Amino acid sequence: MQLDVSRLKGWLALALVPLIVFAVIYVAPVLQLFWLSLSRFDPSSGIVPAVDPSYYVEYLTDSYYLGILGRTVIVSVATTFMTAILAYPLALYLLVSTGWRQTCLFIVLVLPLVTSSIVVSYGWLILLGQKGLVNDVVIGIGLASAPLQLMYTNTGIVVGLTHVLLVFMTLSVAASMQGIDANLAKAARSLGATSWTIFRTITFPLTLPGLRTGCLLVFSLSMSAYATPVLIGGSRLKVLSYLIYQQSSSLLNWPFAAAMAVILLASTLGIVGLVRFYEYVRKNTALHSADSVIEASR
Amino acid sequence: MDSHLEIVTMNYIEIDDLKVRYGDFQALSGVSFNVAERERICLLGPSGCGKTTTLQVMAGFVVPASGEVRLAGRSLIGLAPEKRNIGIMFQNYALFPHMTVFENVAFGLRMRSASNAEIKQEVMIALERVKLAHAAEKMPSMMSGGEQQRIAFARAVIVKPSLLLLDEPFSNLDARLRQEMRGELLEMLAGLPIATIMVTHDQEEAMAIADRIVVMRAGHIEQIGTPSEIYDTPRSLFAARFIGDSNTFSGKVVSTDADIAEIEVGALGRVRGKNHGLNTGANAEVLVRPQRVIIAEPKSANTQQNSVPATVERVLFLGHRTEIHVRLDNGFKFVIWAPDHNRTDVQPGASVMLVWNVADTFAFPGGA
Repeated sequence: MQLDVSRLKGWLALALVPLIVFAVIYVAPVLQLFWLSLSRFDPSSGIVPAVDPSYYVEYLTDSYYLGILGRTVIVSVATTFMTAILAYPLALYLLVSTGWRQTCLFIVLVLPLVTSSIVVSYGWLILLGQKGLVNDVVIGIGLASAPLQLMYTNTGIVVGLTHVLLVFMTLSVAASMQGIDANLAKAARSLGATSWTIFRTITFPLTLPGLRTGCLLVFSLSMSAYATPVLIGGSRLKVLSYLIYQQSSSLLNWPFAAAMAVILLASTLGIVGLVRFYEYVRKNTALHSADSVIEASR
Repeated sequence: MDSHLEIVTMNYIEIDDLKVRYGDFQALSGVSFNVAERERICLLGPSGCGKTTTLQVMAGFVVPASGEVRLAGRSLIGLAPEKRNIGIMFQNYALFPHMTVFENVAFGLRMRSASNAEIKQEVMIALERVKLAHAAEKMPSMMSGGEQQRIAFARAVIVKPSLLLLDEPFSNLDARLRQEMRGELLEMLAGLPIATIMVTHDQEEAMAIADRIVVMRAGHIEQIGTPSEIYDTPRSLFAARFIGDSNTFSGKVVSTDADIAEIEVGALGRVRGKNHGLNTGANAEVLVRPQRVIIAEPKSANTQQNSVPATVERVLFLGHRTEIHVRLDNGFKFVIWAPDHNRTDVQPGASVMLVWNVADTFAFPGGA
């Protein structure tokens, strides 16, 4: 025990350095941002220090602003959902494939990350446009008579974000999938389980930690994504990050931009926190009901 | 062998000329053996001998290039693993870590769409049988290695499989725990009248558990027999060396008759042993078990015995036996197990005569 405690202290000392750096370069600016969001903006004299929550009130009572927050959340949830569905087959393939196939899939997954998001989004512009490849195919095979409106829609934004962020979900899921003992599937199979049952009862539950990490990453990154939603959604379908950019760069209203940034941060953390809380409650009730099943069986 | 074997089907499982290739590696090159109903078979051999591959073919995880596996007359080849009704206990137990002990054991019944009431009843009976009814709601990670083995056993046999496969069930354990768990497994198997095939590289384990042992090497079978058959009448040098300890030395065959070969062993003179396919002039490897050799007075040997002079090097008292290390005149070393508790009469440095029966001497082709 003595040894363990002293070891713990050693690690704590080491962890202290990045913790302090993190506090200085992350927490301090956020506090600064919060302070700024309570100031007032005067077009002639600039930022006027104050303790005034009126920008928050303005944002949260205006249906136009609330609509943009709503769209940002809906687009992020949809993107998270889409990446989760696509990640499982990709992660399975990534793990069972070997050699050049695995390398190729990996490159395809990471490519949108190492390419500028402007370039990636322009790629989608070409594919999703009125005379784009997707519409050509859809009309060509007779699924629609007129071109579908894909650009400048929420669907288009979700498609673009899913493409860029899929790698985070796939790698998180693949990482936890890799940790699963291959004998578990064999044991289940020998007991009569089909491939789908094995996925449902063994693989999926055991990859939940990876799925959770992936959802957290993809959801937060979608909430704060800028280039992709702006290029595919255009100026008509604004997301919150675009609104912040507008306020701070075009209108120079930094206090209002700061208030929006705090709202973005708070809603991201709030939604993630709510999901965690729900999981916590559900897990406890699930354990409880499992107990009662066994009690009843005696 | 158990006495009930006369009344059961001798070829309950028929394995016929199995061949498996992994790329350039011939994992199995024609493996055939039968398993009787309720018989316990051990596949024994060093790593890479094909024992695990044979098990994987039985379970359906490896498809053989050719050959046949029949269970109760019905071919298993082409049948998916989940449709074979074969129970497997894995080396690492492979318990589902996210399920309670109860759910682990219940898994097979759930796959067979048993009713909840039936599942509760059957699982509790199975857990009681392995003395773990109190642990039903616990998670596998909270259980000891021995308890995990019992859960894995209960999970594998609850569906009443037509065959039970055990894959190196003790190889992850230290020596003392291994002894303990072997006892537990034997106890659990005793109450279970189904055919069992166990894979192991540990000859002692195989001898303790098996009705018959299949000695494998490099993808083929060296010998099939009861533990005592293989120990007392090994049919190859490999089988003789793999099962049990032995003293070996090499020489040249000077004469042979139907069952006895006479071998010239350098400066030691001639020894005689049971001939296993040797011709005059061939190189031979001679084996004798350590407990078959006795230390005797010079010139006490008769014609049915071999005798060579030696010098005692060390005498080790090991409790249940005394181990005497001797050096023969040509430099060969011998180990002798004496059942007498403490051979104080034999002292290091003493000149002695080693004597053993010709019938206990095996002569195989091989050696320099």
